[in-house]
Parts: sequence; C-alpha cells; structure tokens
Amino acid sequence: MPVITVNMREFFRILGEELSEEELSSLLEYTKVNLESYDQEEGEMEFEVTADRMDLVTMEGLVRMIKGLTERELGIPNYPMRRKAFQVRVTERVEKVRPYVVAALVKGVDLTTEESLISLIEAQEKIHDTLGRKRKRVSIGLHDFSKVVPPITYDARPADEVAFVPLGEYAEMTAQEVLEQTEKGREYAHLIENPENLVPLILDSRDEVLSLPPIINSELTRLTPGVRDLFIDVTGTDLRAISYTLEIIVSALGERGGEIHTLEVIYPDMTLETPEPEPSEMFVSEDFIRRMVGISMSSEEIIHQLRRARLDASSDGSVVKVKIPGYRADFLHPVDVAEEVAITYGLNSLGYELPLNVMTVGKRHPREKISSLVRTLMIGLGYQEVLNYIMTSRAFLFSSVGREERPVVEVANPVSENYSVLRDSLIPGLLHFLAANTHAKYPQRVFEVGDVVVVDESYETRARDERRLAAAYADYSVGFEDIYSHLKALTDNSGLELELEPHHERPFLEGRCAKVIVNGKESGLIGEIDPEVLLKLGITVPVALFEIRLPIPEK
Amino acid sequence: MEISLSRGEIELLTELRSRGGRARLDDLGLDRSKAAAWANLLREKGLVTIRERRKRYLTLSERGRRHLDEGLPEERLIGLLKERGGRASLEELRPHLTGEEFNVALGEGRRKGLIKLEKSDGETYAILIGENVPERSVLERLSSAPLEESEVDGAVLKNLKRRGLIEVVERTEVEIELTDLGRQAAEGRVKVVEEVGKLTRDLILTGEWRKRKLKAYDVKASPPITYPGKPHPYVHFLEEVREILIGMGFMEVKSPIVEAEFWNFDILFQAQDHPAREVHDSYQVAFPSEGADLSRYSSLVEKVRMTHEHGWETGSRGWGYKWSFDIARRLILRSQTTAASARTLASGLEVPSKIFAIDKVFRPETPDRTHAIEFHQCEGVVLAEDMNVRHLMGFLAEFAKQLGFKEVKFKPAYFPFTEPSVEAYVKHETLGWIEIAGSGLFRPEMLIPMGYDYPKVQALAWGIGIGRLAMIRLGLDDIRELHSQNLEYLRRAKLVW
Repeated sequence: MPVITVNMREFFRILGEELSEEELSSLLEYTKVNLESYDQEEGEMEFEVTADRMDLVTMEGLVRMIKGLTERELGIPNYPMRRKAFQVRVTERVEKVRPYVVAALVKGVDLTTEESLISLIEAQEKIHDTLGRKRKRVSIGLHDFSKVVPPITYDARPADEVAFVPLGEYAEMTAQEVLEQTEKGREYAHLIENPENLVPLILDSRDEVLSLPPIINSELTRLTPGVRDLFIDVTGTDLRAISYTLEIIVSALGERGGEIHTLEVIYPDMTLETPEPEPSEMFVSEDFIRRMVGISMSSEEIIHQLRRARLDASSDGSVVKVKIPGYRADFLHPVDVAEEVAITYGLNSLGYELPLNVMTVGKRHPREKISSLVRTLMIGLGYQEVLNYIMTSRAFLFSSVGREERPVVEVANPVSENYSVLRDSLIPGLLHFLAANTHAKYPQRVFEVGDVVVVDESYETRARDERRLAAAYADYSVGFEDIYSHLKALTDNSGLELELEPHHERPFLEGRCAKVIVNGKESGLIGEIDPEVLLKLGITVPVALFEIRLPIPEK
Repeated sequence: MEISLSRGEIELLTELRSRGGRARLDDLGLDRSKAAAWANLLREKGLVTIRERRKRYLTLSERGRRHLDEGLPEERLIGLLKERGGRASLEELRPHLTGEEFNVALGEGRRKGLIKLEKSDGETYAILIGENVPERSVLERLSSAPLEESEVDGAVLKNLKRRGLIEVVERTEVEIELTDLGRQAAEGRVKVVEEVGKLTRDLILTGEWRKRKLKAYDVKASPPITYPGKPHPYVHFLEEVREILIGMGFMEVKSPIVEAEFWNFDILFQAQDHPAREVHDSYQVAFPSEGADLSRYSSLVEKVRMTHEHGWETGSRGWGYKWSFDIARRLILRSQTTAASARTLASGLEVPSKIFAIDKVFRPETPDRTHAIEFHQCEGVVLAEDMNVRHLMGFLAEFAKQLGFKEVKFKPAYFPFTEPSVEAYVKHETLGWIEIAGSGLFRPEMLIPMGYDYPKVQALAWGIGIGRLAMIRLGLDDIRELHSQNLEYLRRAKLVW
C-alpha cells in the first residue's frame, strides 16, 4: 500500500484549518486511509492509502476528502472548466512504441511555495511506482505551459535524429545519448525498446521536444515555484489507466484553484476529449444499499453520506443516481456505492450483530481428523512434536541427508536458494532437527505431522499434497525394534493394519530398512539411519525413524 | 550413638570421604538433583556443611547462533566494503542487509572504529579503517561450551548482551564438606543405620518394611525433570483456533499448495495485472512446467473471463482488459487461503454454509523477525441469505471474543475481492489496538459466476494472519521461532489453553 509524506503546514494551509493528531485520526476512521505518523518537529505527516484510491496519493486529494468529512464542502467539487483549448495529434507510428497519450492544460494554479511543487512531484513518483507499474503502464509529464506553443504532437522518431536538453542537464543531447548516458535513460530505456529504434516524443508546434516519455522531460519546460499554467501529458500502454491518472493530477491542481482546460486528442482512428468533462453516472437501488449496510437509512441520509464522500447524488425515492468524478476509479458495481455509504456513515456507528439463524454443523477436515489422532498417540508414546518448513532447498532434502535425488516442485523466483523447492518428505527436516540439537539431553524422540508435495502430472495442478507422519528416535542405544514397536503401537491403536516388506533405500542402513504397508498400501519407510549420514550431520548417536502417509478417507 | 541414613545419603557420604572430605556437587558424578537433596538431608543431620556460590554463565542465544553462521552485521559490512575496495556509498550497501541489520552494522562499525563515514557530492560513503570484531571470538568459544561471565571482557560482554546475542544462565555452584561428625560416620566410627528410600516388592512381601526405618521425604526438594511427549506449542494453538471455529459451526476445507492462478486470483476477481500477481508477491512454479488442467471447469472459466473483461451479467463494468487463459492456468504456490474458500464455494455449497481453512501460504519475502516465506492463514466464510456488513462485524467480534479479546473496533479497508471491506482491530492489554483480520463481503463479480443468487445470498469472509496472534499468545518476538529448531525451547515451552 502506498505511503505518502505530506508537509503539515502546506496541508493545513490548503485545508483551511489545523487538525490535531487525534482529530485527524478519528476522521480517518471513516476512510480507508491510515495516519502512519504525525511529526510536529519535522512538520510532516505520513498517510497510508489503499490501491483503489490513487486519487489520495496527492495531498490535494486527501484535503478534498477531509473537507467532505468535516462538511466544509459536500458533493463533487466545482472546478472551473473550459473545453477544447487546443489539439494533441497522435501519429500512426508512435502506436507501436508507446500507444496512448492523454493531456490537459490547467491555468492559474497556486504553486507558489517550494513545498507545493515537491508534493506534486512526489505524487507523480508514487503514481509511477504503483498504478504506473514503474512507468511501464503510466508515466506523467508536467510542463510550464508558458514555454509551450500549442498545438502538440505525439510522435515517434529515430533516436539519433532528435536532440534536446534533458531536464537537469546543460547541453543538448540526442535521444540516443539520453537513453545511453543519463541515469533515467539507462533505468527506463527497456520500456520503449523497438526494432526501428524509435523514441516517443511530445513536441510542440515549433517542433521543440517537451518530453521523451516515459524517460525524461525537457529542461525547456522545467517547473519552478510560482508557475501558474501547467501542460500535463500522460502516456502509457493502458488507456484506462492513463486517463485515470490524468484525472488525478488535474483534480489535484483544480483543488489548488486551477482552471481546467480539456484538450482534443486526435488519434488516426479516434478522437478523445481529455480529461473527461462530465462525471460518469451509476444508478443504485436504495433497497440494495440498505440490504448491504444492514440498517434502515432514509433517502436523505443516503444522499447526505454520498455527498460527504464527495460524490453527487439524487434520488427519486427508490433509485439513487450517483455522479462519479473521473478520479474515482473504484466504482465498478453498485456495491461500491453501498460501501461508500457504509464507511462514510461509520462502520462502528452501524453497530454489529451476530446472526443466530445461520445453523450449520461444524466439522474438522478428514485430513485433520486423522492427524489429530496420530498426534495424540505419538505424544502418548513420549514424542515431542516439531514443525518444519515446507519450502526448503534441494541440498537440504537430498545431498545433506544422503537421499537420492528425485523430482520435486521448484519455484521460478526464489528469494534465496535455501527456499527454492517444496519438500517431498518429512525425513530430512527431522534429521536436520536432530543435528541442530546434539547438545540437548537424550533420548530425543521427535515427530512431525505435516504436508509434503509430490509431483503428479495427472493431478489438476500437477502436484499433490500428502499428509504424512514421521517420527525419529535418537539415543545412546536405539534400534529398529524400538521404532518398529512404536509404529506398531500407533497402527494397532488406530485400527490400521501394518506389514513390513524388506527394502533398501538411502539414507537407511542396508538390512535395517523396510517398506511400510498400511491397510495393504505402500505408505512409507522405516529403519535405522546410516551412521555415515549421521556423522556428516554431526549426530553421534544412533537414529531410528519412520515416515508414513496417513490414510485419508474419501469425503 | 546411631544415625539413620538413606542409601543415597550413605553413597554421598562415602563419595565425599573418598575425595578427602570436600567436593563440588558437579564433580561428584552423581545425579545432580538427587545428590543436592541428599546433601540437604545430611546438613540437617549435622553431617555436612554446604556453601553456595552463584555463578553466571553465558550461552549463545538463537540470534547469536545465527549471527555466528551468517556473520555479524558489521562483519558483513566489512566484507561488502572489502569487495568494493574499502569504500562504498551507503545507498549501494543498504540493499545487502535488512534495515535493522544495516543500522546495527553502521552503529557498531563506527563504535569499534572499523569504518568512518564521509560525505561527498550529497552522498554518504563508508570507508573501511579496521577489521577487528572482538565479539566473533567470544561467540565462537561459546558455540562449543558455556563461559563464565568473568572470562569475557566487560565491554564486549555488555555489547553482546545489549544486542541479544547471548543469554545469561545463573547457576549455583555448591560445595559440600564433611563435618567432624560426618567424617566419623563416613569412617564407621559412628554407627550408621540404613533407612529405606523406595519401597520395593521384596520389602513388602518379606515383611521387612515393618522392621526398617522408612525415610521421610523432603517435599520441598525439586523432583527430577521429566520431558513429556508433547504437542508443538504453535500447533497446539492452531488446534485451539480450529476448535473455536468448529464450535461456531464452521466446516473445515482444504486446497492444494501448488495452485492454479485461476483459483488463487482470477476467480477472486483479481485482475491479471494486479501487483499481488507479480514475481515479488507470489511464488511462480518452474517445475512441474505444464500449467494446470482446468478443463473440468470450462464453463466457470468462461464466466470468469467475461466478468473480468466487461462484467458479464454481474452488473459490474469489469476491468476492461483482454483476459488470458494462459495466465489463469499458470501454477503458483498458494498465496492466500482464499483459494480454498473459492474452490469450495465454486463446487456449489448449500445455503447456508460456514467454512474455514487453516493452512500455510507462501510469499517471496526475505525472512526476518516479522516476515516468513511461509506462514499460516486462518480464513472463514459465512454463506447465507440476507447477510450484511453488520453481520460480518458480528462474526468477527464473536471470534475475537472466543480468542480472548474483549474489545473490538472496525476500520474501512480495501481488498480486491470483498466489498465492503473491513479491518478488525482488537484491544490487547499491553500492545494496545492490534489489527487481527482483513474481511469483507465477497464481491458480486466473484459470487455470481459461481452461481449464487447475489445480492440475496451473501458471503461474509475474513482472513487472519494467525501466526502473529500465536506469537502474542506464546510470547515470541521473532516469527521464525514458530518453526523453532531448538528442542530445549520446545521441551520447556508452556502450552496455552
């Protein structure tokens, strides 16, 4: 979840009032936002916002939300708007490089302080990292409009045929040099790789480069404190996501007193007006809202809560018409409107109720039933239960305990080699456990009941979970008979039939190992561990051990 | 004069005599707790004197053992600097250690004069100026045997304690010495009559027990230690949670560890480009390399596709992208137990039903005190008619109450597959408000493709990181201790009930 840092003074200045930590926290109980810190010394606050509300990564979006909760302002804010200031033409060849662009002009913005600019740029970076998937899906360019001569063209040109001064540099560089020599170029060049070596460009009518998205802007249109008029471009691979992003940025500037000008974006095969001049509408039955929130709310109450949530709403007595601004992308279904009513009203004010008419029978899963039984018996036999990880390494499972390699489930993106495969047996975990405890008092009797994962191509997900039991007995003098007697006690007392078949398999000693047959099915192994293996693990006492698959009745 | 003594007391007396009349309890070669009890009895009879000296021994803590293997943070910092020619920027070094370790490494490095920091061009650089880490040799000595506190340099000792790398075990050293009377008894100059300790079958059958003196037990003496067969404390806690849920009428369900993305994400209406589906948030399976076989569910799969793309008949506008079957059948490791709920719901449950799952989930996290690569989730779903958000909170409050928390409050939240979404917080005596559950009502985009009559039928769902609750109950502060490899800890651990 994104965490955003906000300058307190600036925040309270545009909010129009100061709030204490307690006041702010208790308001946020009615939102999905958490106040992570409130540091008066540093003059900073941190807010954690949720992924469905990216409009709140801007300080202005948070202010807008809080104004609704305190009822200083209700409904959709009325940002002044003018239509179709100029055109942005999109050429055909940019489509295969970075297909989509949307843009807007905002005039008369209050960005006089250093803090206001910093917060805007931080919001931009947060969006790049989250919604923008590290600029792949979305990237934003902010420009000082006084340096721009419209109309604008979004074009793609060969990287070595275009030159400009990139932001933060002094000399002109070719786009090729920008990609290869600047830090941002090296970081993001892979996002626009194409066989013809074209770069996407935002150009003005003088053919001046304004930006090379998603990499860098031009020094020409650098923002400085006091800038009044901003041209904003958003480019990317997903039209819905870039349009949403543009709405977030533009509405933040609207909150700072900006006048929003829509632009016409002309593609070879379609024309858009961006940002969207009208809010979208959703029709939601009042009864549905009452059904979800669980209390009988009047029509007026529902509408009031939606207006506190900064939406416009009206009702004909049974259906609410909700108007949703473009920067709120979290309304997919009427249930999202119902949630807005519930949380703005206050979850803790709704009260809770345990429904007593939902009669159902509780039941343990069959796999847990038998697990519970064998755990009881193993504990009765004097064994300490242990719990090991399912994720482990190939070396842990095989070479370190002298087992023969076999196919196991392997992950493609391990964090470390130590956790890269799934265990196919509980035996290695028990042996390593004994090895880690050679200083503890003997006898050591330990067991684990747990899942292993067996590769099985015929199964739906190509690998099956098996619930197993393994038990190890280590002492100065212990052998096959001791562990066999315990296994026998276990099966006899749980009504299972036990047979052993002579067998040899590492890491067991030859002649002291057997296959375990439970109810006529091959179920596991029993035996004494080869001292060669024990010594390698640093264990200096004999170890006898068994592992069986637990028989799970079909449901 | 005649003194009656038990067989054990006589044994101790004889042993002391053979050692010149004086010995340390630990040197006697007798069972320590038994010998201590005998010595106390002999002292009461005026045969020995006992002198006790408390000594403090040091042993390695679990963290100390780990640092011994992995290297202390400052040693790892030295290593990193050496690889980089003795100088590197903090930003370059930072990703190689966890945040906490990095801070420790810098602090210790400067304190010991191993590194100095230097600022240039707005960056801070660490420069290697020394390599001597005195803690290392102490940790190494401790790994083979405990040391007395006095054997370790004071400054190093303080440092090791502060960092939690060692534990101090207090041990009392006991020295026993024969008194004059004791010496006479041991040498047979005073008559000693043997008392009977344990009654035996022989003594009873022969009637001998009537003639012999039965020793009175010292009930204040500690008995020998017994390690019983015993559940793992964490598994025992999970069983308690299971019992609560079964008591509330929930049926337990399961799903496979190797799972199709379809069941872990798509059916939950998590878009295919959702960040949780990326490589750093879920484990992708490299082998077996063949995707899941979803042929049995083709009609459900088709409904899910349409719901993602344009909302289908759910009344939703959908996510508006081209859904890919190949992504849906990719194998991953289950990253949320909601997969078990989804599979069970999709199989067609009766209304009403209540189900739960307690199982492991897997996330590619770098393991540290608060993160584990695999951990347990506990998930519950109530499927019934006419449920609403107040009922959801009602179930959460009841479950919290059963877990021993009296106060509960709720906060709005966001989860991709529930709406409304609610986080539940409970009040803990010392920790204050802690978040215990994420929850909500399953979205129509999930329930309608499964064939449920939404909105009449609703599913209340919650998920709990049950390991964190267990840590609170068991008094652990490192999540890795839930899978402790320390037998002594398990033998001593108290079971909660």
